[in-house]
Amino acid sequence: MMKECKYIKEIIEKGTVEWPYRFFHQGLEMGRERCFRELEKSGLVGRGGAAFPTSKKWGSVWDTENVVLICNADEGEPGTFKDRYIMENNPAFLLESMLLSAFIVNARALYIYIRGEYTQAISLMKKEIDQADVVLDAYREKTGVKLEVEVVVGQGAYVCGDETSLINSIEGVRPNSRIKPPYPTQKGLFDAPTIVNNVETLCNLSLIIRDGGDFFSSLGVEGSRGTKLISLSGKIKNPGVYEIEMGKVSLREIIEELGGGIKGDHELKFVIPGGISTQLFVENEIDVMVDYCSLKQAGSALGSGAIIVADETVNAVEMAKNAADFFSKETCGICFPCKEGNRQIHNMLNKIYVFEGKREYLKLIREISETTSRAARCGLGQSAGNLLVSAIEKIPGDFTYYLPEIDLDRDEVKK
Amino acid sequence: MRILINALAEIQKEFGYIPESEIKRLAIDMNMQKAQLYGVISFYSRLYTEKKGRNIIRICKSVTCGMNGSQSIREAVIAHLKIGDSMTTEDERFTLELVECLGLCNVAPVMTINDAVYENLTAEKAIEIIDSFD
Repeated sequence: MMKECKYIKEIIEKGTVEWPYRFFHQGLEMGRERCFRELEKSGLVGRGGAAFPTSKKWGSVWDTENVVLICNADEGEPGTFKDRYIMENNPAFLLESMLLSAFIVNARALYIYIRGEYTQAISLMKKEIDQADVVLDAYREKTGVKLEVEVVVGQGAYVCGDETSLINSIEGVRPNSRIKPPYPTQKGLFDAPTIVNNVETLCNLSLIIRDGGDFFSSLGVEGSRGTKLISLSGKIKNPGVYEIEMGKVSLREIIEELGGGIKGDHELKFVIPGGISTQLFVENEIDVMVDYCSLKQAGSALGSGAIIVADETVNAVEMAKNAADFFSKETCGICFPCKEGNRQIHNMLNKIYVFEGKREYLKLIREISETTSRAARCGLGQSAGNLLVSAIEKIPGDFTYYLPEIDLDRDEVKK
Repeated sequence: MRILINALAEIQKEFGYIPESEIKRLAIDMNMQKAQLYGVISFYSRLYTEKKGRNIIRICKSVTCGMNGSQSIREAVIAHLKIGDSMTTEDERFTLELVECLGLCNVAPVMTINDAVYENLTAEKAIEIIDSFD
């Protein structure tokens, strides 16, 4: 039986009570240059979904002043709840990781943007920040900067998970995405160079400072160093947050051994490996290793690490309709391909679902999705069609059942 | 520095929604046009410019909750309260919202009423919980 990896989870569950803010103080002692060298050695990439090398992002603002650091806790990708798990179980660990990161990038302002749905996480983080005077004093003593930690509460807009939309949201304008370049690191919040990182990414930084970049990069595989928190949900016996060492465990092992397999007496039908912005896998594809490269090679992505498991009772058309409904509502509407593309796909899926679809819809959905993914500004539009198109390709029977003109034995497909 | 969406949330906490009079005041305070403020408010699903029910029921309809039977919960609650999505009961007791992922997929299907979370629901359980609210 596979044992769950407990690298980051150990701290989250046990806490650092015996020595509060130890990673932060350790970082202060090491100095920002040495900390950054450890980060470079570690090979850490962003855990929010884009997997951008953290040292590259931070390196790009290294010599600039007035850097703003934003912790992105606007965890909105359906199926993802790992950041909530961190904040609810160990808000102090996140706060010290944020402060440590602020110290390394030499930030003059620090924000955490938490989605409004996470009421418990919001109050815990606020409480933690209110009690952090001593550590903030230590920060000021070391850097000369009187840092204030601002909590910004999201008010229900998935697109704010995109860093440029998030920045607009804090600025108090409509949170549409921005055209890049300029990248936030060049011109971000109120034009200041801005670093936006996911909750889990910043928490990993504390571990890199504790154990060194070399140790961190000994975990995982090339391109996917360290561990990853997985949000496991769907038709699974034991849903929850699990930690895996990247590249060492297959999707099947996660589902069967950590998740206890499918709930009830059913068979696995398909698995979404990285949230509803990623392509699904059917049963014979899930022996793939879970890391950024392997999942990409297999035609999908690790995304935010939200694994959603579906059994044979799940109808792929309903699921696709659900995802299309989500994206057509949550698009910010500023760039036309995303706004109109998602609307058209949504309309077609709705028609298919009431047996009013046409055969060419399946082709059209694929084409529109392709165009949207190439033309959209931000990650929302770029990835909105992944799940639906893969569902049409890999589970065609569910779709053709609703398309009577397609010459297939409907009862056969229904099985 | 004052962050607009936090300021809006505070107003809503006080009044239950964001009244026109407060928007006027905020526009002056923040040196913005009223139209700009409405533009921001209307973007967010959790900000309201109209009065809502005393209790806000949010039922998640995203993928994981959908797989675990949120459809039947939605239908049962709609039939029970006799209101649709984003509507308020005549007695102003409830506002119903069918929402995107609440990030509680490990305990799907899920509903929240105000800030309280109700996990692993069935239609019967949901109705029972709703009836316990004033």
